[in-house]
Parts: sequence; C-alpha cells; structure tokens
Amino acid sequence: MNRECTCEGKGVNDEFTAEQWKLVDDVVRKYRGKPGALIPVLEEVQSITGYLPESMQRRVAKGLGIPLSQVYGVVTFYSFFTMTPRGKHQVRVCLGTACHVRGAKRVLEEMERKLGIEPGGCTDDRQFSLDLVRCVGACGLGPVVVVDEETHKQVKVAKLDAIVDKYRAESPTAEE
Amino acid sequence: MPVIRIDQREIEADEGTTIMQAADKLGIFIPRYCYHPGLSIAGCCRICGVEVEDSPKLLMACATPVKEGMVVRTDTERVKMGQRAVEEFLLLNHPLDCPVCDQAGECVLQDYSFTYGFGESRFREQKIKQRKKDVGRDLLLYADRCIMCTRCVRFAHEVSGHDQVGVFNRGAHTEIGVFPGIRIDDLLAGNIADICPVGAFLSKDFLFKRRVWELKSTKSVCPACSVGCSVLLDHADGRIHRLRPRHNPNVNGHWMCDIGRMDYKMVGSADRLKKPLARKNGMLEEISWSDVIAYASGRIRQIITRHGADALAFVISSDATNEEALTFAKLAEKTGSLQNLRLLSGKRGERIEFAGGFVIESDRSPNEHGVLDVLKEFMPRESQERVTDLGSLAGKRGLYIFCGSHSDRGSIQLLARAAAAADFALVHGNVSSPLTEAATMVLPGAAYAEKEGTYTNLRGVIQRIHPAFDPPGDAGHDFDIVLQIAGAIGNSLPFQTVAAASAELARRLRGYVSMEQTGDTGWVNPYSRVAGATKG
Repeated sequence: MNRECTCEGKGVNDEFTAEQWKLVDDVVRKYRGKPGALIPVLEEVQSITGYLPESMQRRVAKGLGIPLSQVYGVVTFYSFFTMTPRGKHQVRVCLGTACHVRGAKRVLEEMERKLGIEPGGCTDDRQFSLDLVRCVGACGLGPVVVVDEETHKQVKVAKLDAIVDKYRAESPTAEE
Repeated sequence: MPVIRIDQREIEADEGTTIMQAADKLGIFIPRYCYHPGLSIAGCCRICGVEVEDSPKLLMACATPVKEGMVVRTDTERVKMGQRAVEEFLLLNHPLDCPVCDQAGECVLQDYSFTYGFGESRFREQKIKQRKKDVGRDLLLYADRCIMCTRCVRFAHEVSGHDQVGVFNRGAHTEIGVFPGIRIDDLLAGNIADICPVGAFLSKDFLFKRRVWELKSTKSVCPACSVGCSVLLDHADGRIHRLRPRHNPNVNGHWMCDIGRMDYKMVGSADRLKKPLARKNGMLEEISWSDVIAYASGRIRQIITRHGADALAFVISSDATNEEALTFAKLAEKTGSLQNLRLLSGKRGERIEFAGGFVIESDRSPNEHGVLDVLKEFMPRESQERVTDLGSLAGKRGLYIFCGSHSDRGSIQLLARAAAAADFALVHGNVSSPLTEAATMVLPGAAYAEKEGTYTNLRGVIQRIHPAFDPPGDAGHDFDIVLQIAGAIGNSLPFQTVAAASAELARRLRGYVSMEQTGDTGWVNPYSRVAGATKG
C-alpha cells in the first residue's frame, strides 16, 4: 500500500476512466448533505468501479465532507465492500452444510486451481474473482456455484471447465 | 435532586449525573476503561457494570443516569462475575508483553487484571498479532494491545476535531487505526498517548526511556505559552523525561499541547548556562559566584555615581515568575531607575484554537501578564507606556537584563546590540543566546522546572510552580541572584524568601494571593483584564 498518498483522490492512478470518475462524482453530488448517505453512496460507487480502493474512498470522503476514517471504517466493516479489485465475473462457491456434504470442497479446490486464485482474489486479467459463501438458500441443488446472477446446480468437478469457458467466451480477454 | 443508594450508602446526586459520578463522590470506585471525564460517554468497555435493583441485567455505571430511589450494588457476586468476564475477553488477543511495554506500571488493563481479573485464560487458540505502526510525529500504535475503548476516536473527534482515528474491520478483527497514509500530526496528538488506558498508543519521545515507577512527579505549569497549562513534570535523576497535563478546570481542562510537551528539552539542553562568566580581554571566562556578584555590583554602583541612576536600565523577560519580577522591580526602585524598567516580551506564534475549545495562545512565554502586572505597579505612570519599548534603552551606560528561554528573538537581537554598546551589561539567564554573547557578565539562572514561584496566565489565573530538582552545575536560583546583587549594591530588599515575596505581592497587587493560597488549580484573579478560562 502506498503510505505516502496525499492525492486527495485526484488522478491517483489510471485505473478508472474519466467517465467512471464523472459517474462517481455524480453519485456523490446526488447524496451530498443527506444524513446517512455513506452506505448507499459506497454501494453505487462500487457498482461503477467494481471495488473501493484508497483513491476512491478519498474522493467519496472529500465529496461528502465526512472524515476519511469514517469511510474507511464502513468499507472495512461490511464484507459487501471490497478494497481489492473484482473480476468482471464473480464466482461464488457455496460451502454451506448441504453443498459441503455433496462435495463442495472439491469443487472449490478445483475452481481455485482452474482460476489460479484463492477465495477473495481476482485473476490477473480481471475476468474472474472468487469468493466462498455459506449457503445461498438453494440446498436442494447442491453443490451450488453462483456466477454473477446465475446459479449453477449440482456442479461436479468435470463441469467446471464448461462453466468457466462460457463466461470467458462472453467477454474476450483482449477487450478495452 | 434524586437520592440514591450505592452499597447501602445514601447520596443526593445532581440531576442528570450518572451512577459512576455519584459513586466517585462517595469514594466508591467502579472500574472504567472507556469513561474519561473530558470526553463523551461511550459505554463500550463494559467493565463498569453494576447491579441496580429491578433491573434484570447489569447496567453500565458510566452511562446510566441516576434516578430517584435507585438502589445500586457494586460489590455483589454478579458484578464481580461481570468484571471477570470482561477482563478475560479483553485479554483474549492481548499480547501480555508487559515487560517490554512502556505503559506497564500505569496500565489500567494491568491493574484491573490484577484486581478484577480471572488469573488465567481459557483461550487456547492463536492470538491475532499485529506489527506496531508509526501513526504520527510522536505516536506509535501497537494495535494488538488495544482494548477498543475508543477514547482516542472520541478525542480526535471532540477535542482535536481532525477525526483521523477510526474503528476499522469487524468482530475479532476490529482495530483502531488511521486511513493508510494519514498521520496524526496535530498539536494535541500527545494527549492520545496519555488517555490510552493501555500501551496501544505510546509516545515515541518517551519510548523505552524509563519505567514509569522510577519517575517522580512534580506539579508545575507549562511555560510554552501564556495559557499556562497545569502539568506534571515526570523526572528522575535530575532530568525531566516527559510532561503530562494535570487536570485544571480553571486553565487547561484535561489536555496540553505538543509544543509544551516537548518544551522540557530546554531544561536539560547543552545550551544551559552552568557557570558565572565575566569578560576578560574580550573573552567570556568562568569566574566564581562571589567574584561575579562583587564585580557586577561594583560596576553598577560606579555607573550610578558617575552618570546618575538614569544611565542604568533594567529589563526582565516574561519567563520570570511574579516573585522574581517583584525583586527585580524592587532592585530598580532602590537604584532609582524605575523609569528604565522594561519587559522583554515572549516569542510570538500563531494562535491555534481546536474543535473542543482548547487554545494555544500566540504569546509563547509563561508570564508576560504577571510580569507586566508587577512592573506597572512599580513604574511611574508616565513611563508605563514605554514598558515594552526596548529601543528607548539605546545609549544607556549600564544594563541588567533578566533574560528567558522563551523570549522574542528580535528583541534579544535588539538588546544584544544595546548590550554591546553599553559600558556594562549584566545578563542573567538560563540558556546561551546572542544576548549572553554580548554581555559583560553572565549569571547562570534556573529553568522553570528548578524554581519556585507563581505565574499569571493570559486570563489572570495565578498558578504555582514547584522545583523538581536543582539547577545544573553552578547555576543559581534567579530570585536569590537578584537578592544578592541588591545586597551587594547596598540595598538589601525587605524579603529574603520566595514565600515572603509572594506574600508581599498579595498585599500590593489587586486580586493577587500568595503562592500558598493558589492551591493546585490556581487562583482566578477576579480583577484580571481578560476574564474566563479556556475550555479543555
């Protein structure tokens, strides 16, 4: 982490496009001065940028006129918010009891190997990020893997290639 | 006002106060971590739980207002169980590194573990370990020692107002910290290390210097600005190791600033004057006390007989105590030079006000107010308006300058030129400066930590300082030095001790009291030019 950062959230890196910064500023402006706005703002900002790095938190704090420590406190408190980049596709492997007894652990290990990342991580090409969840409420379908909004049922290790390839094909690596 | 019972003792508590405050009044101690009288109530540490009749659970004494007829018990088995449970929880992730922790000896967690704790832990899992973090000019954060009392968070919000300290993460991983890259560098940062009940926030300046039980504490007043915060000088072996604020509702509340906190370094600095000096063949050389007093008084007498008393000028800095100012003014009165009595003003800086009302004044010397009160009492009315006009001393044959370590640099340069041009310049001070370089004779005096007397702050609060140890080397007490000079000139003064001088001050100056009467929190002069005290 860059501890010397004093940029106030301006142009800290070229990670985000000018358009993304503008969208973020619009969100902040919309909520400015409203009490209790921080969580909805962070939610919307994360949906624009994918994650909430330090530069983005500085921008939000400055824009809303609230202490940086408060923004950082909220971001680190809720597991929904993340400070590490997210992939284009979010892969969530369920490790709830029902999925577990039907072999979810092997599914997770195979998924980790296939993507080359651990839970919480993101592939270098920013295509996939991997998380584990404790029950998505679809116990009858286990083991369950949720990719983005889509739930894949009775996933076996052999089916993983097909699932991953499907999403990879949707968005070629060479984009942008 | 509601009458309540605590441990079968009745007390009439003030409306709106808490069980904790009522118990404190009765002298019944209820343990507390997150409660701090200078901060808002958080009620998050849970150690102050007490049993209240008709209440199913323990109530937090710090956060529960008193109610008519309340029956409180602080000594039952349930209360003790609660305390034991809290202690055990607090120590789950605590590294127990007391032998290398600076806080040991004044650590609330250590003391309470001993008094209220379980004695052993049932926790067999891995503790969460953290590295120490450098979070400010003078602050280190050992987050794994933290007990999450959030005093620092509330302080940063309510007193400093910068809001840079926060609570991050969740559950067992919750920690106090600052945003990456942010540093707590404001001038009240040192208080965070003071109010931390454990060794989580520590001062870098004091780190590993001394174990706290080796330190002696002397009540004093901070000389770094005209607020005059009440402080404790923590010292050992003739050296100050740190300063801590001393609670004084008349002056500084619970806090002090970092300018004052670091000002003690002057007391032990290498620039201190330790021997009397006299100029021989153009060079300042060491000389004995008896000789320097004899020569100096001889030269002063000579100037008076040859050129008259108006050729002699007396300058006293705003570092002097009221009692020293009195002897100095008496000396000027005896030689007939009152019209040439002048004040050497203190350094000036920016006036800084913090969110909680704490103020650092622009006059960065301790006693300009008091010295002026004394000088104006003695000076003829027509020359009073020239009391700070040092330029008017050009051409004086003889100068006696009582210099301080918080004096204005420009004025010191000006006086140094006047001293170089004069026939005789006697400079009396505690650190070497351009002024001592230009002097004919130099008398080594004491620093504030070495002397007795009173200071009057900007708002007219008269506070007493106590000596922690003796001045270094052959340096003397300023009060005695002035007395000796006066005696050698042939004008012995009507008092011989600081206490007698203080009593004389109380008789002569409107609204003043003697130093015995100031108490620990000072005397607020009702006739002072600026009324009211700073909040803190």
